[in-house]
Amino acid sequence: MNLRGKGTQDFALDDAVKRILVTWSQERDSEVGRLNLQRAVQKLTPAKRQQLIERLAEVSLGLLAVIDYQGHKEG
Amino acid sequence: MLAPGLGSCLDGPVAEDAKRQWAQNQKALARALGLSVAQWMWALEEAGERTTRLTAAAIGSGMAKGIGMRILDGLDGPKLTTLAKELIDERPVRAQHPLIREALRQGGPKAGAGRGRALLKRGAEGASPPSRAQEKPRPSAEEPTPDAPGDEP
Repeated sequence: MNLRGKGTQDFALDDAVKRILVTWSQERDSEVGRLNLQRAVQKLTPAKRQQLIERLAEVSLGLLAVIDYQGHKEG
Repeated sequence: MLAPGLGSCLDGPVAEDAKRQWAQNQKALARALGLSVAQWMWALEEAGERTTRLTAAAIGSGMAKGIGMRILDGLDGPKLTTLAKELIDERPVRAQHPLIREALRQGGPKAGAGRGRALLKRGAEGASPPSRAQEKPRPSAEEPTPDAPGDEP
């Protein structure tokens, strides 16, 4: 079974977007983290900004999925 | 209680607090990204449709919390998006103007439907008038400037 070329979504991530995500993930729920994110976003091109927004939205939903899972499953 | 390594569960009130905190973080994140809350909810809705990426994000978050692949049990993008929008926009605002809607959304739990006018009035009543008391002159007041050279030395 040859899986080469079967992917339907491109997972390539711009280096600048990667760096912003890494930095943000270290202080993601803090005011400092958000301020740094705000400054970094202003330096991005529209295309890279869009990529960052999409990735952050996916991460946010992933976090919500965990909270929802933990709230539903019983011990 | 789950066995160690299987990921902890959250009690009802704790889970609700976690969801509320998540929603507050989303509003702050939208501000940091230069987006309105409405735009961010739209971005979340689109993210919910990107199933492969969402699955990867959920697995990553699940692994970090010790839940692992079990996070995939019942993972549903559109359902998650609906929950996200309900948490972020728990009291949908009725205002039509987009600026007022955004201000009310960012205002938190106290803001919401029918509260805009009350908030504006309370804000005006609570504001303190500017102080017009004469302050002690600062040292720089004595320094001559081109437009105010003062007395000749």
